[in-house]
Amino acid sequence: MDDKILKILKTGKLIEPSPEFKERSRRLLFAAPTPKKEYGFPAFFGLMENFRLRLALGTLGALLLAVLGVNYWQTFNQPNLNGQALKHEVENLDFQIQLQEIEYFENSAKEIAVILDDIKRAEPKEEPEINPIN
Amino acid sequence: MLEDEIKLILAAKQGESASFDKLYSHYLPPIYRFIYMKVSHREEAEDLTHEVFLSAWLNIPHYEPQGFPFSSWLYQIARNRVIDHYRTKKPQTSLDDGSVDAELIKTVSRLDEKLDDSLDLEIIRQAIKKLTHDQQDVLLMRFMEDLSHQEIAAAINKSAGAVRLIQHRALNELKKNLSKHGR
Repeated sequence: MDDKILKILKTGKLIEPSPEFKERSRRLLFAAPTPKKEYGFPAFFGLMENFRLRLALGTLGALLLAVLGVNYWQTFNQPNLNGQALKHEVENLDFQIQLQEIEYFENSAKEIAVILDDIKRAEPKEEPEINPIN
Repeated sequence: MLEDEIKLILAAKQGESASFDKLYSHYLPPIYRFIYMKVSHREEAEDLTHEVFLSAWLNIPHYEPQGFPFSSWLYQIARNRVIDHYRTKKPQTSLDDGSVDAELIKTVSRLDEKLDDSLDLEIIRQAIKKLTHDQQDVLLMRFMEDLSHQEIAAAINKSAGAVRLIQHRALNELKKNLSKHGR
């Protein structure tokens, strides 16, 4: 019985789709958009199918890049913000502070000496004792 | 397996419709037969076959050849489509069971000129439809399309050993069903 069943099943190979269906299906199949692999965010890529939207987003992206680029260039390429110059300035800063401190202490010492002298002169002279105790 | 199949698949993955067309022409008849044997009418089989190839075309960029013929992937899509079809199909008064599909008789007898064979095939088709989906798939792929156990295993996501077991049970069940028909 097995052989008979298998023999009959083999006759199923004679079943073929009709040529009309084959042609109709092929036409519909290739009328579908060409498939592309999507790397995440399918909804975003779906939006990108719209040509005008793509153009608008592309222009916006280019403008944004231009503005950011100019801003970056202006920020980091000014002579007074040059990295080497800044470093040099910072290194010298400490030295200049020390010089200023020395100058301050020198001037203030003189001023203090003058003030102390004035105070001393303004004080009344001590009177000699009338009845000194012997 | 189709000559230069891997090349055609790689080109189709890049969106070359001409390459996919070659795969389509080669695999359309077996996939159509497979579906036709599992559903009620030619129109249903045509619709489902078209859906299978449309799904394959749209998803081919994600297909990765894993040492099995392209057909295993197509059969996998086809069997899922048929299962979905039966799941969503509205319950109908069964006109299939026990009835003879005139289209099948016409097709086979026209090509083979053996009316008796086509009647036998229709009876076997009705008996096969009473089996589980796995049993139907294994019998059709193995004995109608001559696929190896490995290829069937890849298509139905089971091991080759499991496929042999399903085949054995399916044949026994089929014989039981046919004996009820007095065959």
